[in-house]
Parts: sequence; C-alpha cells; structure tokens
Amino acid sequence: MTKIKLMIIAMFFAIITSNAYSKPILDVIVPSGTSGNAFAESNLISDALKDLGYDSEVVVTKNCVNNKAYMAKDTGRPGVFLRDTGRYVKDESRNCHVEVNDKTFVSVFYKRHQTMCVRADEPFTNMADFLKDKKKVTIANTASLIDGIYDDLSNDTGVKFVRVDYNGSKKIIKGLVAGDTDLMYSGFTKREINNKQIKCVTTSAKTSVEGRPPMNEVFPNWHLNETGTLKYWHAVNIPNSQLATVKADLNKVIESKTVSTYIKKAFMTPGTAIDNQKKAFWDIVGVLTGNKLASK
Amino acid sequence: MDDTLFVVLGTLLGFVSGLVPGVGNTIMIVMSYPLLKDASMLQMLLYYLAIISSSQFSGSIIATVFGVPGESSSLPAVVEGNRMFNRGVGNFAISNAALGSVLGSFVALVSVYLVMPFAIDLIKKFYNNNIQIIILFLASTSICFLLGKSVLQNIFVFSIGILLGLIGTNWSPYFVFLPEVMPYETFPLLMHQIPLFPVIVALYVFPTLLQTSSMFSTYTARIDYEDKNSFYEHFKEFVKHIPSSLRGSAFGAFIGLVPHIGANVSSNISYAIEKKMRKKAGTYHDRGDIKCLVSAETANNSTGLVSLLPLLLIGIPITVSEAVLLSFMEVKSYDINYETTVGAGMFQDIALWFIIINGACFLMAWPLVRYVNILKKISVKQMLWGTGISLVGLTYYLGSMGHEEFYYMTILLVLAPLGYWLRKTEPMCLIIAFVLQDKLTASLGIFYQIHFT
Repeated sequence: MTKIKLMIIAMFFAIITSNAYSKPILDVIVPSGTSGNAFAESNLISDALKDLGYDSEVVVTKNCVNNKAYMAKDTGRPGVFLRDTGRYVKDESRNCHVEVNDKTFVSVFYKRHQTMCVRADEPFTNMADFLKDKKKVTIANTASLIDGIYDDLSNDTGVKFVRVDYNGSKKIIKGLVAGDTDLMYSGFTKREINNKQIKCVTTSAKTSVEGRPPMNEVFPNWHLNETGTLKYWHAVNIPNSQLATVKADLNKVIESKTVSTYIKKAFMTPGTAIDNQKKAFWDIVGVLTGNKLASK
Repeated sequence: MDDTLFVVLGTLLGFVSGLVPGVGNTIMIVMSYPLLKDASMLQMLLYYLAIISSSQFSGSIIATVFGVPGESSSLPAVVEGNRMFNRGVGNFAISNAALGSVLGSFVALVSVYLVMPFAIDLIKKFYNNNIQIIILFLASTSICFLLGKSVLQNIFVFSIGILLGLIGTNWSPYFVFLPEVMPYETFPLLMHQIPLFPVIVALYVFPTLLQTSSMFSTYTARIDYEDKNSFYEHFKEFVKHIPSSLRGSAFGAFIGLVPHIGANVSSNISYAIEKKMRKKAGTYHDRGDIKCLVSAETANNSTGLVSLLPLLLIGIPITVSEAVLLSFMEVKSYDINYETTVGAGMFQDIALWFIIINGACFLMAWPLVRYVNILKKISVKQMLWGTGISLVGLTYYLGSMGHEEFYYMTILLVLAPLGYWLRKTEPMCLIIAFVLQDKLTASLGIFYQIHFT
C-alpha cells in the first residue's frame, strides 16, 4: 500500500513539474496540399520554432473550408498559418471568409517581388527591344488575377498585352517554355531564378535586382509596377495575452539562419523590415481586387 | 514501405483482379487507394505496372479454363483458349499465352528504348497547349466513338461527367450550377469540387459490377484442368509460335497508344490478323488455334507498357485506370511529366521492375494454374457483392480521415441512382470526362485566350 501511495505521489509530482516546464505550443497549419511552397515554408517555420523551444507540429488542413472547421475546433493547441494576399483574394471570391483583424493578423513573414520573364533563347537584353515592332504579346499569369490588369500597360506601350491564365506558377513556366506565350508574369522565387530555360528581365522591386531593372523604370505608368505578394501569419486560437510574445518569436524565426537564408536567396523583403504591416497587406489586396486600379 | 513491397502487392492483387470477372484493373486500383495514399510517385507507377501486367496472366487462365473474360483484352483467349481447353490441350494454351506475354513485354521495352532518344525533343513540344488539346480531344472522342453501343449515349454520359467535374470550379458556380441550385451552404466543400472516390464508386464501380453480375454467376467448366507436360515441352511448343508472338508484340506496341482501348483493340486486331493469315494459308485450327491465341496474348502485354508512355511523358492518361492513378497522384500534388520521370532517371527503375514483374508473373502463374479448379467452388456474384460492399466501407473510411464521412456518403447515395442507370451504358465515358475535365477546360481556356482575345 505504501508503495502505491509513493507511486501516486511521484506521478503527481512528475505531472506538476512537467507542466511547470512544458514547452509553449505553436502549431503551423497548412491550408493547402503537401507539395507546394506553403508546405515547405511551414515545415521550415515549425523547425525554427522548435529551435526556439516551442512544441510545434505541422497540421495539414488541405483547403480553406477544412481550415475554417479546424479553426472552429477547440484543439487546445494554438497555431498560425501562412496566408498570402493572393490566397486571401481567392478565398474571399469563393465565399470562404476568414477574417483578418487585429486579433488574427500576427505579423508579416515576407514580401515577394513579381517578375516578368521570357524564354532564355530570346535574342534581346531588355524589355524595350523585346516589345519593339510587336503589336501583341501573350503573357502567362496566374488565373487568380483580376481582369484588366494589363490595360494601362497596353495603352502605355502601344502593344496589346493578352493575358493567358494558368493554374500555378509551375504551369506558367511550362506554358512559356513550350511556346504558348511570349512572356510570363509571376512571383520571383527560386523556381524562376534558377530555371535555365527562362530569363527574368525585370522585377517589382523598387531598385534593380542583380542587373534586372525595376518595373517602375521599365513600365513607369503601370499600376502594378511595385506590387508584389505579401505573406502574413494568421493566428489560430492564440490567446490575446500571448499574441505579442508569439509575434516577437516569429520575428526571431525570420532572423534565424535557415529562414533568413531562404528569404535572402529569393530577394524577398523580410517582414521585420516592413513598417505598417497591415496597411501594406491591405494596399496589395486593394490593388489585386481593383480598388487601386480604379484610382490610377 | 519500400518499392519492392509495392511491386509484390501489385503483382498479387493484379493476379486477383484478372481472376475475378468484372473487377479489372481500374476497380483494383480504386480499391488500393488506402495503400497508395502515402506512396511516392515511383511506387504508385510500379504498383500500377504490376497490376496491369499480372492481371493479363491470370485473365488468360480464367478465359481459357472457364471461357469467362477476366479482362476485356482476354476475349481471344475465351474463343481460342477455351476451345483448346475443351479438346484437352488447355495447358499448352495457358503456357504459350504466358510465354508470349513475357516476350511481348520485352519487345515493348526494347521498342520504347529505341524510340526514346528520338522522342525526347518531340516530347518537350508536347507541353505546348495546342498539342495538349489535340491529345485530350483524341482521348475524349475516341472513348465516345469506339466504345459502347451508341455514340450519342456515350456523348451524353461524357457530358454528365464534365458537368459533375465542373461543380465547385472557378467556372461553374456562376453560370452552370447556381448557388440557388447547389447546396453550397450545407456542403461548403462542394466549392472545392466533388471528391473523386465516391464518384468512382457510385458511377463506375457499381454499374460495372452490375453489368458483370448479370453476365456471370459461377465458374463452370466441363473438365478439370490438368498438366502432365514438362516445362521443356511447353517451351518447345512456344518456339514454334515465336513469329506469331513477335507480330502480336509489334501490333501491341503500336496500337498501345490509342487512347482507352489500346489493350483491348491491340489484342483483338492481332488476333484477327493472325486468324486471317492462318485461314488464308489453310492452317487455322477450328477447335482452338494456338498461334492466334499467342499473338493476341502477346499484344496485350506489349500494350501495357506502351500505353503508360503518354502519362509518364506528358501527364495525360489514355486509359481509365491511368486516369484514376493520375487523380491519386494529383491528391499528393505529384507533377508527372518527362522531367519528373524520364528526366529524373525514374524510367530506368520502371524498366528494370517491369522485367522483374513479368518474370515473376510467369513463374507465379505456372504453379498457381494447378489450383484453378478451386474457383469452381466460389460464387462470382458473392465476390462482386464483396467488392461493392468493401468499396462502400472504403468510401466511409476515406471520408472519415478528413472528417468528411457524411459528405462522402451523401455524394455516394445521391449519385447511386445515376450509377444504376449507367449499368446500361459505358460508364468509362463518365469517369474519363470527370477526371479530364479540369485539363480540358484549362486547355480550352488557354486556347481561347491565346487565339481569340
């Protein structure tokens, strides 16, 4: 009997002490598949959180609807998921409303530039030469962009820009390489930078990137010439009192060696270098959904 | 699990799928989803290759002994093989069909290797949208024009498949399926398209099982199978028919590229040509001709590998079972094309395993054929019911994995009456349309934007 009592006391003590020193929890939720950038980035972040002492797991919810159902559950595990401006616009268009407010917008992970690329075997070195004597160019882009984004570009250059919609950046590159289109407009990522079959000639960065002139010089009157994609952390069941700590730790994640190298390699701007983050997010959403288009 | 296990399981289950009339490769692939859901792309391809190869071996055994086609490409074996069996030489029919199948596989492999260097540059051009549209158009129209009883009915069934595929896509809610009509509020997951699994079970598996059930109820044969000849005697007999086997291999490798009907057509065309040649020479045996049988059986194995090429190289399936396999790959976000298969060195592995699979099937079929008489004690109808019930259970299980069991079962129930009606049609048309719908609409959209805006 004494032994049993001792065991119960020992177990009680063990539970108490393990709770006292238990790791903080922050899962990384993936509201998409397991092969895209979102999944890879979520794993990267989860690993960095573990290095910071967090108990962090990657939870795949596949799509926006499942993700909403997951968020509504009381899992007892706070978390974050990465969401970019394009995904926000797409979710809204499909009536999958996940509200962005002070309680859910934790902070920005990074801002990625957009780029325009042509096939590597095209015999020219700048966009002006490429467009010279052309009446029409076809441009591959993601299907989620709103209508009319190239209208002022066409008016400005006198060349008709015809958009061709693809589902995903892999297919955009494939379409360009196979000769479907003359040009592509997509995110400036490792995939575009390292692909030897294409050459990216300009980006939406404010200054030139490794010899690529910025779009604001190439197309000074285009309303999207400085618009990129912004990715933020959306809070899931994080108590208000912990939000500031989580934000500070996610900033540490950005500055960790693996994550900062990842951001640097694709010439992205880390969230820690962006002021007025929520405004930056809504500005891009405004451009993507047409608000800014109307004002220009 | 490692690659070997997928090959072993694929070979064993493919053997079973050839033994049960009506189950076939497509249904076996569907039933294998829990096994494949965590597999790599190579493992999925090896598993698929093992199933389609081994089912050909067991399919010809059933066709020869019982006169029942396990696989649709086994029809020549039903005619010639069963006649040979009834005159007491069924053992030679089975051994020569198996030896022919092995030879056909090797010929197909050599053909693919010979063609590959010339095809590489051409393949890259296949990514071009115009060429993709042509291939998709051929894949879609051939199934409507070449299968079933009525072209009009096939087109109607195909259209239903397209419409079902459109539910929840970017295109449809606004002008095809109005929010007032579709229960998007009750089932918001409909906005992410209908899941493939309950659709396949309700609209392909059920009608196919119903069709088969009305055709066969038992395995019957007048006499029992027996084999008193040595391997050497069987091989000596096969050597006499090598020219027929090579002709079948060549037809199989060539016709394998015809969408959806490759194996079936190559087997029957090889059979018809061999029969015509034999009749012209006055050597055709009315009570079961072994050369015709060998030619047909060689052709369908030769087709197996060749028909996989469009999927491996440009990611376009040309058979229903390939379409199902592709949709499994898409769930895992695998991108299948020249770069991820041949370019990544995967084809060497596939080729090596293809040789091993065919060798293993041959070695397995030989001893197992002795036990074929056991099948007489099993009811085909009961096996079909078992298949159907396990697939309903599997649908529930797969739904429950994403907490969507109610949604999956509702789709199954809602579509079941349509599946019942489809038993009188060619349900393959619906499934291929459902699976290819997103590729078709995307390609047509790109085509329109490039040429008409």
